[in-house]
Amino acid sequence: MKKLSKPRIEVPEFKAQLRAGLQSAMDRERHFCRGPAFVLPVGLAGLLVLALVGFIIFPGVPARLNLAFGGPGTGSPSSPAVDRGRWAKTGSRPEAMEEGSGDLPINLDDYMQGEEIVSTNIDRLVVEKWTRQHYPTTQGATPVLEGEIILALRQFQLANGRRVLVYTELDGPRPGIRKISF
Amino acid sequence: MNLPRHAIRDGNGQHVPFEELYDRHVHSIFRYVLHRVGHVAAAEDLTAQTFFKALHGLWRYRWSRGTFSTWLYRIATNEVNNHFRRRRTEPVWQERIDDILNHPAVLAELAEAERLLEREALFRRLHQAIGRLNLEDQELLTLRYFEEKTYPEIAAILRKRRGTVIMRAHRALKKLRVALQEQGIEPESVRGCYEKIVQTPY
Repeated sequence: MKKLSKPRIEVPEFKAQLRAGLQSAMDRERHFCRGPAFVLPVGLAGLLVLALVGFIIFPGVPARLNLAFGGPGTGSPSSPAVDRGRWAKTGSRPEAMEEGSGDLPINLDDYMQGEEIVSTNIDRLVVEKWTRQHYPTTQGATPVLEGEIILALRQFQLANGRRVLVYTELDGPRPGIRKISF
Repeated sequence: MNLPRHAIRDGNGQHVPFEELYDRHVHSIFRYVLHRVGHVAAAEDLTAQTFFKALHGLWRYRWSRGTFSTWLYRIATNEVNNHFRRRRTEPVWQERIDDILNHPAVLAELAEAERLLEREALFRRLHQAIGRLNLEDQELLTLRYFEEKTYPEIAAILRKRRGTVIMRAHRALKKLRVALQEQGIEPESVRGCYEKIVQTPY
């Protein structure tokens, strides 16, 4: 192979063009400021590290920030945090109760004939009508189990569109007790 | 004294700008790549890739040991091997290289160079025979017998021990003899390579 005549290919134009291309690339790099390209990522990384170290040293900070910025679990009235606060005030844990249909639309005009709005008889009529619709085979009397309870009713809208009703007893045998109806 | 961005320091501590390094090495790198790939167009493309890669990675060379020539041959070897393995990716400077390769004067010159290469019948047959060997044997034989590099230089380029390079060169030559015979080339016609081995001081 040493004796073999090797091809002597000369490409001066290519070499000159390549030299010019390299020169142009060098000129462009000379004018390119690398400062921001370096400082920005390093600065952001430093801030992230500082934040992580801060959270490790002060573990309560993330929760406080969450509350301050209204993150999940802070603003919703039915959130566990708020409920815990309410239970603390009322002194007892609310009872949950599921019902098939707690929001039966009933026109009071059907029953009101000069009587007061809050009435055991009218309520009984409402219950009997509802019972006939949902349990047509059930027969017999519908006695009142407890005395009259004054309730506050608050409605909530879940993310899935369903409505939640919270009944809070204002007066009666167990004031402060809450019941939830879906 | 601060070193300019596109320069290296030579053995005497003097700054050598990249333009000067290019002028010193472009011919040998182009020739080496041409001997490896056997096509002028591919050799031009890979030579351009080599120098652009060297330019953008010059800071790496400053942290490495060895001569600039060795480093450049190493880049060229990797580029050629990636070319054969079809692993090449599009670097950011590809558009610039395409502009160079598509320059009308370069294209006109390329046609003439390809015609000249076609006339080198024996080289082409020898290149075909070498092309039947694996890539490691190809790079070793090309560096040794076309570029006439010493074994220590080859060892530095390929990052192998000198003894390993010598042993592999002997084995590669044996394989080449078989490949040449299969191509219908009498190995004696290229026996200079064997004389080269004998002359080499280990």
